[in-house]
Amino acid sequence: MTERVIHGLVAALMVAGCVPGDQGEIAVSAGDLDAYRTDVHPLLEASCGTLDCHGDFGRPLRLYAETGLRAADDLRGAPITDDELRADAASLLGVSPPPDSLEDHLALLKPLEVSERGLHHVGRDLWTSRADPAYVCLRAWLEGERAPLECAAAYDRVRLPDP
Amino acid sequence: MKTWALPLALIVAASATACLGTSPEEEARRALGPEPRLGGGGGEHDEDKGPEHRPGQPCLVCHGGEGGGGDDESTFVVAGTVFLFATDTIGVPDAEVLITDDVGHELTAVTNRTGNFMVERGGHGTAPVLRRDGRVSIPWDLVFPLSIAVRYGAEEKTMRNRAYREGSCAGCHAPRIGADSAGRVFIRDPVP
Repeated sequence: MTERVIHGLVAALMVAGCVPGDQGEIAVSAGDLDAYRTDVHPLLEASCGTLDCHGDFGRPLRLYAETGLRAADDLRGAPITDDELRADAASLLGVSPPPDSLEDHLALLKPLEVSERGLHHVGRDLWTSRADPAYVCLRAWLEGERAPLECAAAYDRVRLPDP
Repeated sequence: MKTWALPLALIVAASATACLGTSPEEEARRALGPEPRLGGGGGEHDEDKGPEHRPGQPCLVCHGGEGGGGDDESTFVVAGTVFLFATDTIGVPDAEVLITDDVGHELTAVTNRTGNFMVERGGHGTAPVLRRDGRVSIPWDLVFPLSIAVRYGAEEKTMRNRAYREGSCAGCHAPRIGADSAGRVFIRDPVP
């Protein structure tokens, strides 16, 4: 019995510890992608997707962006691609196991101020409350809805300079 | 020999080699390699730890304070190298680096002979103090994210996004342009 346990441990170590896990496929519908591209991506590119934050292959929420991480070397300097946007949307949807309630989605809790029942975020608290336009924007998208005015208001706070 | 001895030894070996060893900071410092010879030509020369050394490399790997291996005399908040052209191996002197932080502090650093500049915490009063060797001392904490522009004479380039946490320019602006690097910080586009 002991022998089997130890052999099992070795196998688990080799499989789980040394081989990257298969994260599976997360479907992003055309509607989700259009809404992500128009409403959400500009905000996330400017406030989350820099190379020194979520524009990093190693982050749980990995984001591609024209000014950040690219999916391939030869895309540097090129406009964001649909494949990259789809991968960003899937990354957002898959950042935590499906929560019982949208309130518990990590993508909503991490940027939210801790005093508002948010979670510690190395990139500091970004949203002061659930009324923050960025929270409303992202939550609407995660619900399959849209909040374009809130998304635009949130982007205005972090607007990037023109190229 | 017990049949479980070999698997147990494998577990111990895997734990020791995969989970322990050198720290990420030590690995990063080691990856920088020896001091390159300035101006190209290959080879290496004695390590010069002055403000003109290792242009284009990620300064805070060694000069980042906590865990970064810096000392009190050479711990920087932000530091990097400005090049005239993206393909240059030595930076450009007298370029200005204009930094605005998240609470409105503004500072300007001026690059030294190898294009290096360094922002360090220190000094008194309210105004940054510019030194001739590429350093600028600031009497307040710099609050990320940072908006950054570089200016050389009448030419100016503004960074398209902000620096949210990385104090080394080369942390994102490595010499190689690619998926995870925007390439060197440079002033002038090549003539087509």
